[in-house]
Amino acid sequence: MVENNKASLTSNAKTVTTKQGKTGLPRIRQFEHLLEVDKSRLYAYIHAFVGDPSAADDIFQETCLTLWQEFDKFELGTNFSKWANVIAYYRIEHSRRINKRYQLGLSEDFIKEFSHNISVFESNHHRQEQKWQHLEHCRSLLSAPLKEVYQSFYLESLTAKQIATNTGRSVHAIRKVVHKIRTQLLACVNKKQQEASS
Amino acid sequence: MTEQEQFPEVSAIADAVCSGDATPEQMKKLEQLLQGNVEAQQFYYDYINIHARLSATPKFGTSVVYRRITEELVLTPDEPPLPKEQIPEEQSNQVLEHQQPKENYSKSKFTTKNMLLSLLVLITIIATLFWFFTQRTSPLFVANIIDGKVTLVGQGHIQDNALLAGVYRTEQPATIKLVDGDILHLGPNSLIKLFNNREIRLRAGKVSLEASTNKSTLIHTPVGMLHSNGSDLTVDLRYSAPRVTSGKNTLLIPARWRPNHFWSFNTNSDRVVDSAGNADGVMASGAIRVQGFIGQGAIKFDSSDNARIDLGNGGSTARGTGSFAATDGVTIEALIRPDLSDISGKIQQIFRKDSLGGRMQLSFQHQADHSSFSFGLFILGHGYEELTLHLDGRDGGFSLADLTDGKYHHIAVTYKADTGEKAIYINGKKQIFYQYPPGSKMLSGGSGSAMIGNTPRERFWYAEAFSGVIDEVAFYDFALTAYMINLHLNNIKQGFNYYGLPANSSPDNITLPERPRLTLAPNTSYKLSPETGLPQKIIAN
Repeated sequence: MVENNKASLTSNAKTVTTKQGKTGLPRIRQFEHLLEVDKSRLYAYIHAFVGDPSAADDIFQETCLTLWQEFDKFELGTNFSKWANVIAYYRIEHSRRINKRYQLGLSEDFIKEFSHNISVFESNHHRQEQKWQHLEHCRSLLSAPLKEVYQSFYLESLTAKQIATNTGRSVHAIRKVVHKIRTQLLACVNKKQQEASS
Repeated sequence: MTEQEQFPEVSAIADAVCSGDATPEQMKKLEQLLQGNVEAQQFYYDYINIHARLSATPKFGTSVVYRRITEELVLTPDEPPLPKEQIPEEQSNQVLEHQQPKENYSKSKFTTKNMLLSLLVLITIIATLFWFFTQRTSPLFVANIIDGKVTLVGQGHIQDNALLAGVYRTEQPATIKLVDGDILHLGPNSLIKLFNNREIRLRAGKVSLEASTNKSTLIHTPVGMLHSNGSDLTVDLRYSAPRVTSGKNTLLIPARWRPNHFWSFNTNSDRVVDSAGNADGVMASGAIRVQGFIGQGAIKFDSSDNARIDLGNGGSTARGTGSFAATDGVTIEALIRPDLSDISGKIQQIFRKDSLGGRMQLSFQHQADHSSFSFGLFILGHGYEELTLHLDGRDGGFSLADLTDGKYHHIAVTYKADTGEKAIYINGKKQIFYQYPPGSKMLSGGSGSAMIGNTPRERFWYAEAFSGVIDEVAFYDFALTAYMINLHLNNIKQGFNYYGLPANSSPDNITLPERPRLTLAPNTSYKLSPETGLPQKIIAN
């Protein structure tokens, strides 16, 4: 299967890389690079609005496709995240209109307010990036038991149930640990950012 | 105050969002909590960001593939580059072929090298197809039927007598031979999944593996895994408690074995390190590190109100939650050497967990004329009750004289909701038990603290402090079987910890492993616990 994917990458990519961007890289490679840097943040943006991960997956996929289709209109050197957020927001709105599954109890007024505030949070792009750069260091500060669960849950992509089965602990206990990992890391990232600012 | 403490409800709902099980009601509540509260919105957004950033594969990048016909943009993780020496010679050209065009997509013309490679790939495909159609026992087939009949259930394929990976059922006894050589004798009405020529899953019925190679075949079962390690092995799921008959080298990996908490006291840090969970303990001044029976450390409690190790509440805020919560069963085990000069008659706590209605304790009481151990639990429908073992030595039971021999003694207390049995074991022998109605659930956990060597209730610290030494304390949210309690004792006698591991691990390597391998005695039949997969008893050897 992996080989098939690779094969399709080779053959299809040839058909879309005839245009050259300003930097000399093929246009799809420029897009790939920008998306690679921004994809986790973009996914989080969508996930925060729709709640359900599978719905977020669908909208993320649609957003990426639209981003690529509209990429000719994107001016290199401007803020890709901001541009991506606008497109993601319209994809979320569109999905909410056509599919109730994506609504999940959030009102349109709140979505607007939240979207506006996110754009404020992210207005200082450099500061935001700096903040998330602390994540790697914070990850190294996790205690050994937390690191083990982190390894299984995030790196090996095991579910809480699988980890519980492997370790002989309850699913609830594993989920508590995962929650602890996230909150500890978030507190650590914020603390490091405050220290860096002061 | 951290943001999580500031926004506990938002934190809980954000956790549900990341786990994919946030309900519409929770999302409505989230909206109420976030609306007009910029700080709460920032916290929620950051929480989701943390999850998304941790979920992204950090080691490899992403390749973008645009499929024009289906209007798809596919994001595929780049394959990790194989070390050069691990790339088989015949594959190395293929890897190059896929990587090189990534930087040269604009060159649409075919080079001679590409044409030669394409030709090579074509020849390989034709040769593979030829081989596939001419060889009856293709490597795609993982086994052959050599006796009886099996029928296909769902996935898989039977071609003549050859079996592809898949799920198969027998109605009558049948024998199949894995391509690697091991023979599987399947009982009637067995359901088996063949993963490959060395790995199977028995879902129902019985399988006897007849080893004909030195290679190990892995058998998955609902209660764990078994490695044959080149020897015979039988697994029988026809009983409510699965049965295993080992061969010469059988290894068992049970589904559940790990304690929630294990304090070996063998590190010199300022905390008492929990090698299994996150309940590192804090020692008060009346708890002093001394030479351990197992490993380099144990804790001596001086009977004062400062004789205690505070373990926290297991991360719980509500009854029945946290790492000290257990409903289907529990085990607490420890090595103790009480100081019998204290004959005050006061209760001496070995381990106690307090919570609203879910109290749990293992204690010792020594008086001039009589002494006893007590094991207290909250059982639903019965409330909190203690099982007391009087150390009077009656009927060959454990006596105070036994306890005063100056040696360490292993004490384990268990409760199993399925059977309703609550028991106290000393040195591997069940001394006393009480039978509740089978199925009676227990309640523990909650916001109250747990403690070793004293009670968490401050006003009674002076009255319930332990006097003596405690080593190797473990807490499980299930009942260990009598067999496992004795195995732990045997491991201790050989200088290992309960789990047969070296006692003095380096501080960096103190965490218990995720998957232990229990070596089963050769040619022995075991009954396994249906809940944990741990050996329950030996039924024949």
